[in-house]
Amino acid sequence: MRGRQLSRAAICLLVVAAAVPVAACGSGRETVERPTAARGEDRRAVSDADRRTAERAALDAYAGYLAASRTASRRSDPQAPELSRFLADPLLTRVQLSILEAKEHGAMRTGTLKSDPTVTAVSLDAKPATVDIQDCLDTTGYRLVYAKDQRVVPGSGGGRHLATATATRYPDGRWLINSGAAHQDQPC
Amino acid sequence: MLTWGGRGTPARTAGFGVPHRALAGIGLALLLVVGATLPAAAARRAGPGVECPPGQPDCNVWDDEPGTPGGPGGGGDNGGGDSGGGGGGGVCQWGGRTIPCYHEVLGWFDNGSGCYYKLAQPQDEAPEGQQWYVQTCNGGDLGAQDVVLRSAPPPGFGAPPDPEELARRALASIKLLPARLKVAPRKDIGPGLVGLPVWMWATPSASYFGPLRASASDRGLTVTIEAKVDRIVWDMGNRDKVTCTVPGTPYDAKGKRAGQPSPDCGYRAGYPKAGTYRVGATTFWTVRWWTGGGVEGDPISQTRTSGTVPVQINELQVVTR
Repeated sequence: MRGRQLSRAAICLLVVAAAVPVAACGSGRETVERPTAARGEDRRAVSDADRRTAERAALDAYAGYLAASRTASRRSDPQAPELSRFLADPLLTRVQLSILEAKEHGAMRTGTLKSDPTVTAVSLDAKPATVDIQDCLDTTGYRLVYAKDQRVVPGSGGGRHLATATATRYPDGRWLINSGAAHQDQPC
Repeated sequence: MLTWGGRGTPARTAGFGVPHRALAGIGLALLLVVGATLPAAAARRAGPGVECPPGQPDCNVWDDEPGTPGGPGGGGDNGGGDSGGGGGGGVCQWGGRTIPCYHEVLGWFDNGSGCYYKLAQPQDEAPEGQQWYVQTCNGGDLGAQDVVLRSAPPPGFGAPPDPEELARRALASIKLLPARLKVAPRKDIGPGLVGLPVWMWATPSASYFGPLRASASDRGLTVTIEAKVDRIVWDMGNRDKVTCTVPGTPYDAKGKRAGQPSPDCGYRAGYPKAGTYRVGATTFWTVRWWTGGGVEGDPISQTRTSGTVPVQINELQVVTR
């Protein structure tokens, strides 16, 4: 019994380390029978809920970021207010600069972008708390074009590539994406 | 699973100029770029290896294009060089180039460190009396961008737009050309004679004489410039100089003034000695500038030097026999 419990605890720990939330962790009957272990597992249960909340908030921020980036790019507006609703520095500055540079060259990004993000790591004990996200971005239908004639900017092109991002919790409780990169050399 | 940063971002460290949550996703590639590619004229270049933000693919596509105006102005038309340079002598410099003191995304430039600074948005928790800044170094190199803690803003931070800087930026956007020189007599047409008048004239178009107008804006302040040639000083090639405030009149060998002095720009007495002379000229442009509110600044003087035109002058008796 104890052996089974230990191995189960170990599995829970492994699962936690792999950042995959499993609702069943800590809800076993054994925990009820052993008050000392129960306290630890309770804490873990709370942490799992926090973790799920954090993951959801991080993925929401990421989806919000992609949508805001698309809107601001289509409008060629580096100061679009929605950017700062989902982004924090230094990534905020990078995105604004990318939009500004396209604008200065008479270009804009247009079309749709397919995203399929997953959480790869959650660090709620870190200060600040962070959630790492990985995405396979499909930019096949998302093009950099000249605004006046919709001609595709030479040298640009869509495709499926890996993207990574980090969401960070700020003092006001908001989760914002503050770093990230499109790895265009890594197809997915 | 990927290995790009499984344990989350590195621990944050506090202190002056210390990177804040170094870009976990960019990792080694960024470090390599910081160490390897720091061209002096890297303003706002991402450079190879600095990856684009997610959803902003191909952000480096502009890197191969020629830089924005701001370098020395006015390519010499007659093969002449420039003296004075377009928009030179700016307040903010990096790698010998004048760069804007304020950038709408990167913030304010600090000459001392060569970095642009702006307050990081939003502000994360910071030690008492300190704030987070986005720092972009090497005159705006994205490979050298970090979020750093500072206890005080750098010099020049938060400065309002400088109208003179805007005037120089507007000036860098136009070309002040050296005069295109024409003379009579001209060596490839035929020689002139000692003591006979020489005519000089320059292409009279707006490109060569002005007025040329341009403007530049920053945070609601617009400065307009007007550039005009106020004189051309002709160097006759024998230490004599002739100053003309007008483009001059083209010589017409069949016109009624043929053989007479130019009415407005000439070397009336002609060359006193036979020989081959190289006639050159310096064009003096004056650039007036004013703000939208009507405040006028001190004019900026610019000079452009033309290439020379050969003139051959023969002795009078050689022709009269």
